[in-house]
Amino acid sequence: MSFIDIRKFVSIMKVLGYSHTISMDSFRKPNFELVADCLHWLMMRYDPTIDLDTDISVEARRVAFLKRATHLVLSGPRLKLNLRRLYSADGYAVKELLKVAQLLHNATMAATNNEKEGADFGPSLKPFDVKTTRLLVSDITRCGASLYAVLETEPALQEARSRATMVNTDMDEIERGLKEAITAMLESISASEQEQSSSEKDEKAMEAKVEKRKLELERSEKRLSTLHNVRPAYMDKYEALQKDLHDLFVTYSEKHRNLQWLQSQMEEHRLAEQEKLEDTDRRMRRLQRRLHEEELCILRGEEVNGSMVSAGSSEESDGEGTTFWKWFDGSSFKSILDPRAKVEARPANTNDRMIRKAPPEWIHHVKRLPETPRQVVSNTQSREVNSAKNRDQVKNGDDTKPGPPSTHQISPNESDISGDLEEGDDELLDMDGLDPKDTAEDDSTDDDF
Amino acid sequence: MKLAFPSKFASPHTDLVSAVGWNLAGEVYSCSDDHTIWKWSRNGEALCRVCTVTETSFTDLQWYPSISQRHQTGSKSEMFVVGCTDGSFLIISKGGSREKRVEAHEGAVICLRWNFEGTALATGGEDGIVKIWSQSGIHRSTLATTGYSIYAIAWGPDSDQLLFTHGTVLVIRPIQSTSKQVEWEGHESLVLTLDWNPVNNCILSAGEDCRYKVWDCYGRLLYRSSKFDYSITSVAWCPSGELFSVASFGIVLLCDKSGWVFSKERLDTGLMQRLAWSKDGTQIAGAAGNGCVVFGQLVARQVEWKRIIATLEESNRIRIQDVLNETVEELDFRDRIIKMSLNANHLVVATATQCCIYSTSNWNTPHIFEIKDTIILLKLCRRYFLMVDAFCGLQLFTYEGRHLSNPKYQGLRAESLNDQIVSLSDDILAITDHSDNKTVIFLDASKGKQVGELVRHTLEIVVISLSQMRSSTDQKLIFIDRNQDLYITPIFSVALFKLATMIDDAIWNDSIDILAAVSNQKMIVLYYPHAAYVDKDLLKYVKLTKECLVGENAKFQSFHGSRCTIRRKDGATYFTDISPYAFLLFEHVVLKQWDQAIRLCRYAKDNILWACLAAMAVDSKELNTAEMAYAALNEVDKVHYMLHVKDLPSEDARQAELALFKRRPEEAESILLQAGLIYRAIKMHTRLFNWDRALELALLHKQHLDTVLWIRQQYLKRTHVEETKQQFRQLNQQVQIDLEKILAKIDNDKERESHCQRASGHQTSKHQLVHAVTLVQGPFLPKGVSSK
Repeated sequence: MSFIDIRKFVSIMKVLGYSHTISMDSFRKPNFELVADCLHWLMMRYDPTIDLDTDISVEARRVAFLKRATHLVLSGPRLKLNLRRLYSADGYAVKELLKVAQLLHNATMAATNNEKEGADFGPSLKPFDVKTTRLLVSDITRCGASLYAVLETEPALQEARSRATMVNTDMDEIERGLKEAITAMLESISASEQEQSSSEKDEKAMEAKVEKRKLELERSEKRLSTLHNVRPAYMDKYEALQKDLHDLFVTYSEKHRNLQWLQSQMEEHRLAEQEKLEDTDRRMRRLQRRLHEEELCILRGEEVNGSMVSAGSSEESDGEGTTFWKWFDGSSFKSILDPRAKVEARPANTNDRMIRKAPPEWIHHVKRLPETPRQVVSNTQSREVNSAKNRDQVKNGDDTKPGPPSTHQISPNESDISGDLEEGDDELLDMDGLDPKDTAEDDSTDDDF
Repeated sequence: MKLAFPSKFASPHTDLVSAVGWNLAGEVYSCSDDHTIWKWSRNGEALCRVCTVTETSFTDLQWYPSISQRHQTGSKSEMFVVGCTDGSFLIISKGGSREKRVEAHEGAVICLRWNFEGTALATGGEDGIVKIWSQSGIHRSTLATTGYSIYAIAWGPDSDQLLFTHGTVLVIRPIQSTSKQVEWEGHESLVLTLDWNPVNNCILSAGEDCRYKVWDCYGRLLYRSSKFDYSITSVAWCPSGELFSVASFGIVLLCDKSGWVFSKERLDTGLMQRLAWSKDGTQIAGAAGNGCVVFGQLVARQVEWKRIIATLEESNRIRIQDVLNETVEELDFRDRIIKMSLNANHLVVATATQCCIYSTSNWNTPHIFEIKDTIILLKLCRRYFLMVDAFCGLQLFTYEGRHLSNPKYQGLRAESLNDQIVSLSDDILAITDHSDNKTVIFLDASKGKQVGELVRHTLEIVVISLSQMRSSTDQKLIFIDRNQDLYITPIFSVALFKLATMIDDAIWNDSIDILAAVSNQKMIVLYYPHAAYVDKDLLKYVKLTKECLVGENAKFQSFHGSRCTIRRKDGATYFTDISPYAFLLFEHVVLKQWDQAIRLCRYAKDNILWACLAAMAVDSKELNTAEMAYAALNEVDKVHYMLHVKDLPSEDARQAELALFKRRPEEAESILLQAGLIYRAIKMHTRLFNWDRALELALLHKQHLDTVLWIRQQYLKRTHVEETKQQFRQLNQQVQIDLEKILAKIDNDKERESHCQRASGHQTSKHQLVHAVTLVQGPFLPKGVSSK
């Protein structure tokens, strides 16, 4: 029987914290040293203040040690140890030692459990409040009173009770009634149980179904996600094409915008041109009229100058007219008609428009050009243009000329314009610079500006 | 890998729990000093009290062993035995009724164990006697009587041996008294607990010297742990033999079979009295000194393959990690995962009821099929995988979940198979069975029938492995025997060849036939072990010995590509690489690109490569390449021989000479005789000093008798020795030797041979030309072809 005791003893001693390893074979042979050591350790564990002599060198001392120890155990925890068995220091000694060890083990276990559980009920003990105590006290008195009242009715009830017991009741009937009641009750119980079980089954089925659906959902979601991840084969191509399209659209829109702007510019320009044209037209007509009058005057033999002045002053006297007039001597006035004829001859010509588009700064620049080269240019051009002019004249025919074209003198203006038509941009500038109006202004007095 | 324990334990037991035991249904029975036996569910809930025995306390509990749920026969297997302190043991049925009480020992019965078949029960008692009982509790024999209490016993794998301990001594005693017992001093102080695993045949022992030790079945020490704080009270092998657990005061360790510790769990349960693994090896139950029964779940098991790591997170969840993509997948399963294996682009997971096959490219849609019994072993190869259970035996499935075959052989014991004694290749399955572990059986993978002949060896075979390269004709098997010698043999014509000695473990590369082995502190790489069958002299060249700090008993984990993983004895993983040139070389050779192969060797300037090339060239009769390779190795004699072979007039003669080169004279002779080249055969034997056979051939074919006699005479004259052979002496007197005639005959024969060759060569040259044209770009034309 010692195996189980030793096993338990070993286990308990380890739990209690005995530092040495107790072998399972320790007590196969009498081993008093170990018994004494264990006992001493256990006693110390029980009460560290105990005075116990550990000298076990001789037999008498050993007996004394055991006596003292057993006495202490008896006086303290009231355990009776068999001294003879302890002294034999074999398997039976373990049994004795186990008593002490078990006691200590139980105590430590209880202590640790209390420590654990103490946390639970500790706070509830703490508030020992008067209110609940008072309530309890009043409860007690009330209970006492009711008990007293009930007891008072006892004699009367006793009588009734005895009467009731006296009456001979039909036991069978009662039994039957009870049985019926019992069966009815059982039936109802079974029915409700059945109901419960069926509902439980339903619930389970439903749960399973829900679970299944969930799983299905999960799976299909997973599949969906994989499908999302899959990239169709044509995607790359599609994207490339989309990019191309976008680029094309950008270029298209840019071009479209430019076109629109250019068209609007063109429109604007055309209007401006129209206006200018009309203006010149009007002016020309006026001039023509005046010239006509002058001519008439001359024909009539009146004094030219006087009429001239009067005519100039009478007609709002725009500087142009006068200076222009000054610049040309009266003999060559007919040539003025030519530019108008030119303009009228080619209203749709784009080159014409381009010419007029030249910005005013350039004009100024050209104005400041030295005198000599311009003249050279104009001279050379005049020669060239002469032939060109003739060509033009041939082409256009006489119908465009409002004035009498019989006498043909080439003016610098005219040569410039036609030169431009034939030549490049340089001539164009020159021509602009030699616009009749401008040249008139150049040569006239500065007060015109 | 670790054991996960719940944080709190509740127990109906009020006193020390002395033992626990699992039954097949996954229930745990625990017996305690409070005289009760309780039943627990797998999840650690106390289900009900089975019985109460007031008159005595319990010491040990063991369930009747039944291998499979489907093998159960009636109620007989639904029982367990408990040992009692009054010296008896009780046989108790599942429901708790006491079937029998047997008086067994004086003092307490301390330990009892069923053997693996369930035919016998061994008990050990406080009185120091070991007894064997029949299944029904009838005393059969008293095995041993010692002066000490028997604290632990364990049956050997075949149930023909019993291991027990008394004091500090471990004893293996055969049941039949005829054989000798093995006895050794195991520990410094009392041995308290033992276990013996039937699968890996290793013994575990531990005791009061605070160490645990692993022994092999001959009592040789494999591992000795460091000292713990307190005596170790229980050890238990996991049924698969891969792991074991060790318990002491307040701690439970999980260890690898080679001894090193996976994890250490601290539990506040007092002195752990007993540990028990569940039958499927996924859970452990422990009987604690404070009256608890603790349940641990094996988690964080990890398998790796190339860039994928699969980790068992919980009992039914696997986490897949792709290291390169850094993607993580979680796989959830309906029930407990019992085995998982990752290899060859597939993950196979066996749960309690299902088998799920995942491809590593798609974790969403596994192939699933039902399985009938608990899986014991799961092993993957490129084409299919092997699943072993106790009910169906071996089963092969493809990765689509289609059943391929059900290999069977006589004496199959599925439950004893483990990873090391089963090997798979694309067509062949090799097994060393437990019942006869000196032989290796080859089974055809698609038919399940036995193929080839058995490999019979004189010693127990410990590890086997099949080469993995795709060609099945020259597939080889390696094995390591008990003496740690490494052998190689072809599968179809068994011829054992010893490659190395003192080998701890060996592994084939997973794609080509490179063999790696570890012996003490060294790693040996054999780049072309087939050289053993081509030219043994090349073996010294193809062997690369690398110093590496792996220590003793290192085991290979994997050998993918050029990367080799070794697990050291102390559990550390050691990575090492081999040269990648060999892979390129093999690739070229497989594609028959010989000149590329030569170029590669020239570039690498490595004798190993040249030697591999030489062996492979000779093996595929590529003489020019072989000549160049031997020249690079400075093997002048071999070069000369190659030249000589090339000069031979007939194809058959060349074949025969090459066979002779490979040390197979019988093969050479049969080639020559078949081709009718009698003179060559005779000449060959005289060259080999195989006079008797030469004479025999001459007599048989009635040709060249005088030639043989003449050569013999010349030989004797040169060596100044008298004729001693009786037959020659007789014939010398009968036969007239005319030198001129002989020479004429020889010339005639040679002429005839070359003539024949020309005639046949004429026919073949056309074919060879076509062949040469198809090879245009890469390979060179053999010189022989162009000259013809």
